[in-house]
Amino acid sequence: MFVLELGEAVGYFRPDIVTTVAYTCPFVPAEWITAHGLEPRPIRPRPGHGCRQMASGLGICPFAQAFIAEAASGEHGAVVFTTTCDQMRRAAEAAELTARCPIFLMNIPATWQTATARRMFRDEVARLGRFLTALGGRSPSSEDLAAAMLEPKVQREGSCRVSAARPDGGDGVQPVRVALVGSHRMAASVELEDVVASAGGQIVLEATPSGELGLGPHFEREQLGADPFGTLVNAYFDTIPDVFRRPNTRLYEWLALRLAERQVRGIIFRHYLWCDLWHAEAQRLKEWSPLPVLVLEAGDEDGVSTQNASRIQAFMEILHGNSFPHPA
Amino acid sequence: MNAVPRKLSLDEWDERYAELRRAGLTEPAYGGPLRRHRVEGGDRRLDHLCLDNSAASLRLWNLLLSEEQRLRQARARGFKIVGAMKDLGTVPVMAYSLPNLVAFYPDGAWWIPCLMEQSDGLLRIADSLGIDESFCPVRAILGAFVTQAHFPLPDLLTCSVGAVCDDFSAIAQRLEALGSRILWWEMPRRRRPDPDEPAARLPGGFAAPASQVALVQFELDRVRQALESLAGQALDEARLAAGIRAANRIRRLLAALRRQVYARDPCPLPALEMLVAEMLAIHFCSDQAETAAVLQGLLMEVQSRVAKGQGVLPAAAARIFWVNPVADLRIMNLLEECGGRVCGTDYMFTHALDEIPADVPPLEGLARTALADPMVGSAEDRAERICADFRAWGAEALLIARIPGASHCAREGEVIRNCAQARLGVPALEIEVPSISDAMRPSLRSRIEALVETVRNRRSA
Repeated sequence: MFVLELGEAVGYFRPDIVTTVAYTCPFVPAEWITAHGLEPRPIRPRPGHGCRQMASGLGICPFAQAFIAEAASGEHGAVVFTTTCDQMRRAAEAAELTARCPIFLMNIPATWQTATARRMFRDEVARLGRFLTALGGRSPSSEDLAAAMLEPKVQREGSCRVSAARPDGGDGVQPVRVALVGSHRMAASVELEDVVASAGGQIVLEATPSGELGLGPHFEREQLGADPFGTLVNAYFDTIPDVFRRPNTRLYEWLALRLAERQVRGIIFRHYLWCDLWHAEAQRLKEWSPLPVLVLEAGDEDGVSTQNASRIQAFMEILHGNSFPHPA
Repeated sequence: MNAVPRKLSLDEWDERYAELRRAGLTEPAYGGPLRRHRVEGGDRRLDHLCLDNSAASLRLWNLLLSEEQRLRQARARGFKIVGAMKDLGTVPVMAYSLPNLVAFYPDGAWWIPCLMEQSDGLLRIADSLGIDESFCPVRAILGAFVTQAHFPLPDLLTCSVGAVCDDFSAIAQRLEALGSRILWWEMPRRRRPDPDEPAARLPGGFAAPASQVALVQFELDRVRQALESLAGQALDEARLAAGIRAANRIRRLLAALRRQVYARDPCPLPALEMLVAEMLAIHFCSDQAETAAVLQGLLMEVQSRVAKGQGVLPAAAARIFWVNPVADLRIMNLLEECGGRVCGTDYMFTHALDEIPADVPPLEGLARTALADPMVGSAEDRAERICADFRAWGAEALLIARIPGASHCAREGEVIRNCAQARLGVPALEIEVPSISDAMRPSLRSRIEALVETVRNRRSA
């Protein structure tokens, strides 16, 4: 839906200032926004950034709350929410009350094995396009879209980083290679890398929707053919093995491959309080993976809590002294 | 057999049952004294519930509490069993269109920890599977599948996903990872049609884009094919249309019952029995014909009470519109102990109460009904309907039962409360009810009493 109807969006907001479109969900195709002449802004919301001004209560996901605050910040031309979880779906409704920019709620199918789901995603990308046009974006031609798909700047690698290892103290001990798996990340949670590094570890795989898990597709010119839009839709639909998909078997296939490739020795699983979709995977991941798993619950505090930092430190110490097999 | 309407304890029901039998009560095969559900079934909560004293209510409780046995009997007779998760009233209509299928609602396991006062251990099993108390009590479903002690494993398990609560989506995924094969079908988040976009009217008054109706229709067609395959029989339009007519008959009966109960004073039937009666609309408690008979019996009982001016509660009880089902059935009694009564409900499945459109092809009618689900649209939409129904029933206050851990409850209670206060100018209260609420009973009582007092003060103002 357009939380703000198209007509309202055009009439109420000045198209000349609407240049950036913020989002957190990897299923929002950055190339499509670029092709409309607007700037895609995949963001990690700032924790506590205006959160206290919002109505909040028991059961509200801190990440969704922080994203509502981003919409209210006045720093984005428009904000795209998606239906990948109930919290975000309902956050879009809450954002409508406080946002200082147009809000778009994009339906992302949970199923992925049927033509119906693929068609639904295609229709929603097209509907997003109408929203972008209503904001003042241009109606892109196939050539515009193809060009955007080949532009390096809209590739999302920049939002993901592999953490630096602690500088070698001369003891010759290699950092412990760990994977970070779980919920989206907020801006301040990059401190996690520093805590891991200071404990003698290194995050070599960030399997979160804000990280490598949500990188989305990479396009080559020969792929695009006569239907760049179809290529775009299919690539996004097929390549992101997010936790909300039903069934979410692809998530585990994806993980198995990368954990082995990166020679990961332990998994830090991090979920927000009230993020049911990731929280429910914690125990399953422990049962599935031969690697040790440390489960961290994140609240709405900035950075890493003292308790979580202590647990990370203990986890690293344990991993330093042990070797576990990789998942098959 | 008629007696002055009143609520009885389980002990009092023993005598009442004997009295009914002496007076010539005839019962269906699943009939019998309520005591046996406590003794044989372990339904300890019955010790703490107050139950309506009519023969019609006896039949209602017996139908509800004998479902597990009925499912096992159905399997023994060669019926195939369909577990319809999360859709609250769509897939069961399709399943009952075929003569050799029985559908049930595994999500209903969320009441087992209440009924058995947690002696069942289902929540402990869910804990051990990583689904702790931060999730909705529907997590009991995991334990029910693991133990297989509460219902037979279905031959086909379906689950609506997409615009559903995160708790259930996560729990169902956990269930699949444990080895239960699930047919997932997509339910998009219902949106209001854009200007100039083709739209379809939905039961309950909302509209959805025609494209969303078509999408859900495609999904239901996948379910239809799976049901055909399971039954070994065609589920064609004629059969589906007949199935819809049968479901609509039940919905009309329930509508008539709700009109009689919610609009009359004194209240002719307690809130607890009405909650159970409304739940029957979702999946027919594994026996569609008996559901119709039970509702017919309740309707006749209520009509008789109304004709005599009899009620089960004192006249002029505070008229409360109730939102969301409660995990602990005892709270429905508590409302009445505090001087309130239920006048109108939204137990999260108003779409299962509205008639399924019969003037369009059957699958389209079912798709429209599924999209009318109050939980797949915005909280604002849900609040709008609640306000409309609130006015229609002449309620005086709104009570929202928050479900512990449920993802949708984090925000929608506030939206609904604000909407009711702004549009209706009526008092609204939110309470949280766990599966066993005894420890919180004093606090819940105080809150509900405050609401009832507010209603009385407004009357005299």
